[in-house]
Amino acid sequence: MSAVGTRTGAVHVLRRSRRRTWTAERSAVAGALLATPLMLFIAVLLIYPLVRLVSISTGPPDGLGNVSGFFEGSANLRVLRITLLDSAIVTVISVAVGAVIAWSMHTTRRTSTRLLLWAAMILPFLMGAVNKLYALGVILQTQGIVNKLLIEVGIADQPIEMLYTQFAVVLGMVYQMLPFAVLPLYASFRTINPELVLAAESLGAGRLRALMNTVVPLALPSVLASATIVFMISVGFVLTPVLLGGATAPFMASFINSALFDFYNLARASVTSLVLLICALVVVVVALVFLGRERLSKAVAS
Amino acid sequence: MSSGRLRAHAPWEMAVYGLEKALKAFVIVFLLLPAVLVIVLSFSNDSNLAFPPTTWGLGQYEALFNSDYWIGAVGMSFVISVPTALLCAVVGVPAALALERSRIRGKGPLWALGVAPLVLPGVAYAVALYTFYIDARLIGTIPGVVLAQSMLAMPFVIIIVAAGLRRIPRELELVAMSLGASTMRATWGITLRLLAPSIAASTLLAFMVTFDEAVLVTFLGGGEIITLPKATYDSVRDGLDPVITAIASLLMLFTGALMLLTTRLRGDGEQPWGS
Repeated sequence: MSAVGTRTGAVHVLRRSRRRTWTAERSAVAGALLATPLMLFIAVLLIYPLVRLVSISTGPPDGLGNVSGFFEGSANLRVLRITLLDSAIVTVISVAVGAVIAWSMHTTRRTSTRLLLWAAMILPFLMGAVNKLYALGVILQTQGIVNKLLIEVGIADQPIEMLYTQFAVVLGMVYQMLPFAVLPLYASFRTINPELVLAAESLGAGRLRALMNTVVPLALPSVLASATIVFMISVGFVLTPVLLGGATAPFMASFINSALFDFYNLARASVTSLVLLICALVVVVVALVFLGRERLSKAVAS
Repeated sequence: MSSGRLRAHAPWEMAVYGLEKALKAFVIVFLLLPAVLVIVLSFSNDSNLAFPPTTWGLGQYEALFNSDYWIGAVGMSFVISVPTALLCAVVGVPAALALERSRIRGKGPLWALGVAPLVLPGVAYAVALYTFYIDARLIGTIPGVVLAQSMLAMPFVIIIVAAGLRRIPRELELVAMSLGASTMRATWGITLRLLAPSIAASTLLAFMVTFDEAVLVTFLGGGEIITLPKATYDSVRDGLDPVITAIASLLMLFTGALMLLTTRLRGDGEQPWGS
């Protein structure tokens, strides 16, 4: 900033009668003009719809009673509990496994390992969101390759129903979230020098203790930030529960889907969405308080 | 991995190593197997999805290219994704410029709201838009879907272009101005010129994101707007049609090529597969 300042000073001397701002920063007015289209987008396509969601959810028939009514239905509570629990399981698995994978990507010296790990992160992404679920369905179906393997090895003597179960949904969500967890973690791990571990080991720490005392404290904030993001995205998954969990999967998203398209019940779909949104917001606020905005937006941006 | 080892390892530490290796192997198989299997099965001529296939051929690809349903869906995907990507660039690039290079207030909230669609639970956001679109009679319209998709893909443009701007020294504009260029000319001639690769990369990414989006199309498309992901979703709901193996394989090629182009354009020396 000071370098820019002195340069600006020098430039002032050269300035001719024309009034001009010698700075690479645009004025607040120009900035506001540049940002106007985005602000319009945000107002019309983000804030207004969310406000409308709240107004429908708390409108007729019972006002706020609609929302509290949601928590009175035991079926609703069960669905909410399963959704949050499964999302939490998915988050823990994705971030824990993701951290190990990201650390190996950072430290491995074998090109083949690195190459395979990167291929594993990228190839599913290239396949497309719906095709991924299709591919998992092909693998998990009763005559699928997993069942064939289980029978061949002798673990099972007849095909196990895996598709259209909660297991399939959790597996599918991990399949999609793992690369999502790895990439930001890898970006943050790259700032950690692997020699720290060697240094700790040279001072007599075991490998695990060395990792615990050097890498973990440095990495923990970014791990938690990426867990927050993974959880928020998991909670909102629609395609996975519907396609891998089947029509009756007890997930909020399938619930909303059928409320809207099978029963045309906009009010119920809105209330359910609002509850889901509030759960996600609570998580974000907690993360903001404990981790700060900087780390969270870094986890989003990479 | 064994070089630089400074002391002998206890057996349980070796077990941890083994576990880490096994985990790596499992993750690689878990993530790659579905994709590889789909590619292999796309060359099967069987009517079921048995593995290994009993007959080989290009039957799935023939079925795909002879189907009006799938070809129409691909067309619709372009009709939605191209305008969406362009709209994202037109709105997102100036916004990134404002966020990085201007003195407007409230950058924090603007940034947070701009990238919010990325992390909002998808289904909740889709229902929120649905409630608005019902009132505005935008359900099942192309402009409606394009607008919604633009909001969803906007974060990618904002994030990538802002990152690109941070890599361009601000002093360059000052130099141009000290040589007599107006602010406008310095912006166009220096900053935007240097930013062009980032803009192109972010627009491509917005295109890819939209091309692959199924949730908003399902909620807001009203059954009339059938893009490729939406068509696939409808098909998979009814069962596992082998023709999708061909779609998935071709999509891997298509998206792979676009991804490669995007990384080339951004060219920040970040070659994951290199050393």
